[in-house]
Amino acid sequence: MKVFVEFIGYLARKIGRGWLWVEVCEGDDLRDLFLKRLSSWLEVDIARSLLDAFIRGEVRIAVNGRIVWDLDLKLSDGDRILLFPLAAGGCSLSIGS
Amino acid sequence: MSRRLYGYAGRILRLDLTRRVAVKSETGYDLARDFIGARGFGAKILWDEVKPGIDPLCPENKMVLSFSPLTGTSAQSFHRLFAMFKSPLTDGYFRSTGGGFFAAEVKFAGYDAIIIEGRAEKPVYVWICDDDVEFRDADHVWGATVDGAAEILREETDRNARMLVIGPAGERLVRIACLVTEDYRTPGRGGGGAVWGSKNLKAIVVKGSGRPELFDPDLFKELVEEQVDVYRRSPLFDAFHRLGTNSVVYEFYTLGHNPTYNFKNVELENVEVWRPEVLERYIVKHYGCFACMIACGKKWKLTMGPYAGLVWDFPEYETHWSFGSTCGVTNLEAIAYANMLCDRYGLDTISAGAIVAFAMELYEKGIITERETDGLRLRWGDGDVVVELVRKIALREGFGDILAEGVARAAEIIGRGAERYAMHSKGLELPAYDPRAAKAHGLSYATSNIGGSHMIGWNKYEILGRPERVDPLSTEGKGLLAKIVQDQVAAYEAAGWCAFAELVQTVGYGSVDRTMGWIGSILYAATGVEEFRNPGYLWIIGERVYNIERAFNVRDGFSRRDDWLPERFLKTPFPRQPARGQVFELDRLLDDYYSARGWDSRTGIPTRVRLEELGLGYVADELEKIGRL
Ligand code: SF4
Repeated sequence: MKVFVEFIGYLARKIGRGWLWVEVCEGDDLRDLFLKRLSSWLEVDIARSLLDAFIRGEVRIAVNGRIVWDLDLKLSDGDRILLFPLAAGGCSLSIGS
Repeated sequence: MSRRLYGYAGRILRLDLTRRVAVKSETGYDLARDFIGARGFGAKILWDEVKPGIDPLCPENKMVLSFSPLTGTSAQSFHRLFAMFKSPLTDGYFRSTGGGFFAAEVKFAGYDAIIIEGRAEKPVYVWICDDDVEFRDADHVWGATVDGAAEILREETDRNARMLVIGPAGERLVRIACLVTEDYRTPGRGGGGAVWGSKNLKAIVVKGSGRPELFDPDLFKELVEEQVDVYRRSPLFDAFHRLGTNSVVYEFYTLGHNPTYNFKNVELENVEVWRPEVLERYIVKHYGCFACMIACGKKWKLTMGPYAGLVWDFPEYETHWSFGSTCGVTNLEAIAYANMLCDRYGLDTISAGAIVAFAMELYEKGIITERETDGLRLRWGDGDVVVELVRKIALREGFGDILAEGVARAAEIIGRGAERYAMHSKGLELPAYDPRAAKAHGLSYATSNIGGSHMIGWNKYEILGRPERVDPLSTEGKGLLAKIVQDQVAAYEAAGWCAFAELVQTVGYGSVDRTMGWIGSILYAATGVEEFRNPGYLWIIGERVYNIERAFNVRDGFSRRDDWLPERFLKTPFPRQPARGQVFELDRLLDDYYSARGWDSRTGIPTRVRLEELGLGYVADELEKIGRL
């Protein structure tokens, strides 16, 4: 199954693209998305930095328009996952630098 | 302790336009202690001086422009202008606010508030230079746009003067006309421009040379340093500085806010142009208000299409929505151009766009046709139509004359079921959030004393999940949450603070209690008023301000039935993610809210007990005397 991942504002600039479709496996949760799936598309340290920035509260994640706080959230086919800096546009993060 | 007030300018200026007389009086210690300043002063003075039942456009209406003891100091972002008046749009109490440099300049000239009353026989402007106050003829600038008038008035007074001006819309009594500063910051909502138009007042121009004296300058300096540090560390600081309120347009759309097509809320095509990476390409300059390092203002340059060549203030988040999403428009150039017209004509951008969206839906439904619209085809998504309708509204030209009345009155004039598509509360057009997608925020739309405003109770808990997480779709505890935020905002605004800046600082601290504690300390350091040191006392002031505003409306006949939202929100399920299937549970939420406020839940009127607890026994007495309690 596939999910749609979008990067907004500063994240898009830093990563060099605004979105991508990512293949995930049945039973994957958000943590898996960062640690296993995104790392095959992005540099490993970028995927890890994104996860850390989320944990520090500097990056927010919305799944199908709802803010999520919990990395255990299970993914479903076609989920739309948005990653944005707290109030998009910010450049205080050190993702992949 | 001395009863001397520090931080304050110490005087209130009363401008009697009928007699062309200016009277100065002392800023009372009790008024300062009980209401702080800014919105607090306006609420109290309006309660004392504006009689119930008057027409907002008659000479008996008054406008209070008021400022805070922190205005004009080095404290960051406390230099807002607050305008309180009875609104020609809602027929009730109104508070409108804008940034810029005007408020600080009035403080420098030596005034904590300006009360405007009466009606000049013919157009005038008022020139205030410290102690000197002159009423001058304004025939030569009557009819001029804001920018045109400002340029002439600067030449006649002082090149560095600051001013508040109305444009042709205010002169024509357009009910959504606003006041505009010389740097295009606007106390935009509620029709304050029409109130000035009805008084034949074109502008107030001011230049001051004084500075507020502080009670404890060393403590004050320390607290400002702390503020600067918290701003810098706040994760919101960079976003606001870099892109202003536009930083959240795309994000909020995806979270179910930024409603589309007059709140029908179907998906907006081409919404990717709202992405911050696209919007920031238009920015050519950053600027800010007096003593605010956030500098969230942006100048945009248009280089393509029929509006190419324009360099003007960018459309803020709300304006981006009003001429964009709610009209189905994603043409950024047309949105920026409509915004520029509003600044020059003196129109509230939120209401203007909301009215155009209302007209577009009437056209779609066949309730109006080209016969009524002066031949215009009001198709969703047509940016040029938006621009043309804005011009017609501002000048009350043709069909624009009806729309200039605001959606509630226009719907009555048009009839044929048009009221179903008039998205307002208490007559004020609703802004860029959908009540179904954030319930406490929606409850503030319904219960706000000024009608459908997003600022009276902007719910950071629901919208940002900061400083604490709250599920925006749940109804649990939302009465109390709406009350808490409304009181918080009222306290901050009595201190003259900017809502964006408050957000930056509160998210920086990660706690409302720390913010309230800091405000208490800095108010004390500025003024020497002992009570301000106690954050609990600031909460009481917030609630007191909110209740006296409510009482103003109650005295004018408002009750629970006015705490209302359009049927669309109550009956039609929200169609898109993330709030798909949600409706707004008005009655249940209202019961919860009145109970949290300690008001009578049958009538929505504050009880005597609550009013007395807030030090408003005199308000209860008056309401009882006229049979409203
Ligand atoms: S945050 Fe923006 S609007 Fe608020 S005071 Fe600063 S510059 Fe003005």
